[in-house]
Amino acid sequence: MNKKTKIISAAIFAVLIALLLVGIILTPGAEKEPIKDAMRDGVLHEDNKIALFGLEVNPGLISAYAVSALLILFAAAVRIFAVPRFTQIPGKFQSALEAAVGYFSGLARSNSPHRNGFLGAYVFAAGCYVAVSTVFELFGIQAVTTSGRSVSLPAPLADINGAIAMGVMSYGVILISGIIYGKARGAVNALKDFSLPISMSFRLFGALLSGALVTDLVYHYLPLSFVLPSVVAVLFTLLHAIIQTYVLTMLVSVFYGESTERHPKKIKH
Amino acid sequence: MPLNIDLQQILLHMLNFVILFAALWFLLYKPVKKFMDDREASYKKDRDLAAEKLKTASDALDNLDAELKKKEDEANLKRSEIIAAAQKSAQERIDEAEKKAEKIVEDATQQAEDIRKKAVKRSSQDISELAVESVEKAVMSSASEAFEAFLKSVEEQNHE
Repeated sequence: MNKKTKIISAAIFAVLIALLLVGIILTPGAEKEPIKDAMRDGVLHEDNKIALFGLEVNPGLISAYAVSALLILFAAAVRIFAVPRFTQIPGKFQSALEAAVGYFSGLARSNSPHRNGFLGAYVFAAGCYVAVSTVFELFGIQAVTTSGRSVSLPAPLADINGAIAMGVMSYGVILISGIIYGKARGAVNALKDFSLPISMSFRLFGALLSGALVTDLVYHYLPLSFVLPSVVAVLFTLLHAIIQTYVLTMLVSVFYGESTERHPKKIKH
Repeated sequence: MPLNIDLQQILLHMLNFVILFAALWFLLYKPVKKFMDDREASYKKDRDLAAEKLKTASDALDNLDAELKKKEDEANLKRSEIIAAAQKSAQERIDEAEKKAEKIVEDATQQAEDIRKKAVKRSSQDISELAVESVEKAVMSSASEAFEAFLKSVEEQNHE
């Protein structure tokens, strides 16, 4: 490529980009809900409801069902096609599965050395759910609201109901295991952390919602996507998924371990 | 409710997660964990078996070492016995040789004594013969010369 061709190519690209920018700035775009309403709805889900078997539910619940359906399908496919073909020397896929199962079972074992069978399964399911549901918002699957508007399905845990469900269930697992295994002491241990369900719920809700709100805020204005390329948002979402998974599973494991801890009997002298 | 919290939706979320938890537990976590545990148990069994075999081999080696040491001790003892016997035998031979040597020396001394006695006896006879011969010569020559010759010959005889 000679110098003249290079100059012509650069000029064509410059003109094209300039025309696009002018078009973007001058074009009013489709009418959409104001940012204030979008963000308010992002937090409260008051307006955009989706019909589900006669009920009006938040889009987050639809996301939760979609994520669960995806995970269950994947698990069934793995159980039917992959597990029977597992070998003593694992391949890449088997290694990845074993690494995930081994990580969560190791987390459960290290925090609750005496009783960790159920905890391992619980943190595995919770971890998969949190990770996949956080990444789910990246796909931008559309759903139609009862008002006929199209909305992008959010992360299930960005819905406060989903986050509360997750926090309360995790606390329930800790409390019930404390009562079963730790008897009165375990129950007291779990009950004294009565703020745990609230903190876990709102941590999940706040973390996921803040990410969603910032993304909404930035990408609500199209020109801003040139300033902050969308790949950055994707990377942040992936990082977010890992962090939230780690935090929730770690907290559940630690509190579960505390409530089911064995206390040696005091020797009477 | 504040923040649009809806108990019905919370319960729907819980139902969703309970179903997901059960499905993931039985379809994914349990079989993969079981496979991993079985493999670990198999490796542990192999390790235990190897350790047991190693212990058996080590015990056998110890036994062989002990047996070898015992044999070495026995061999050392036998060697010591053989050396002692050889030394004793050698000493006996030496003693016997010394006795023989003493006897040989004694016999030789006896023989030498006999020879000396015989030589002395012969010398006496020779002296007597010489004396007779000298007397005869003296008879034939002068008595003094004969006597001097006799004395001289006696003197020489004594010097010898």
